[in-house]
Amino acid sequence: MVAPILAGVAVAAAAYAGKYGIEAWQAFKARPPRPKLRKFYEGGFQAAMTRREAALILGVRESVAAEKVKEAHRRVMVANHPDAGGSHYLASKINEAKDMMLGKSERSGYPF
Amino acid sequence: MQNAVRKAGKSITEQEARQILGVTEQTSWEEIVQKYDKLFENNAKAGSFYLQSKVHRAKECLEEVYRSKSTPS
Repeated sequence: MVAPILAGVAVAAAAYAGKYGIEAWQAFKARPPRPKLRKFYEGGFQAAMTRREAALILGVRESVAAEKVKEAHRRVMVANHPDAGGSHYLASKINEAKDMMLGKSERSGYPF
Repeated sequence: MQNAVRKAGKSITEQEARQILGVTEQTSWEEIVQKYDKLFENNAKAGSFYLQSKVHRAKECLEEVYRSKSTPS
């Protein structure tokens, strides 16, 4: 006789657990996405720029599309513009990075 | 131009650190910290983590330089 009551309580408990579980998961997903606990990269820039470094400078993947490269370049350049307190050295590195990313991907995209 | 013998970014040089922050040998430490704060914040908001790291390493390097300057052996 008490079994249906217990069953009902169990269902209610499961429902509440599910509700709060989903809310917690959504809050977790919606948290600010920047992981500040990362360790900084060591040293200065490489003597000769590589595609890997160029991708890192722009904050994109090496296999990213040209459109994304241009977007990233614009964004990163605004943050480091010499007229807005940035340094010419960084600006030139950012430009170099963009050229490297676009140059390589243009070549690979050529339908030969 | 750049010394090609230098190892690929293993450790930052004072010269590169100054270039990254856009400061000269005459720049005071306070000015350097100001530039660092601005660059670091700008890159945290809209730049890349990689650039942020370089800015940080540049300041670290110059901190050492200025620290050793102010405490003459």
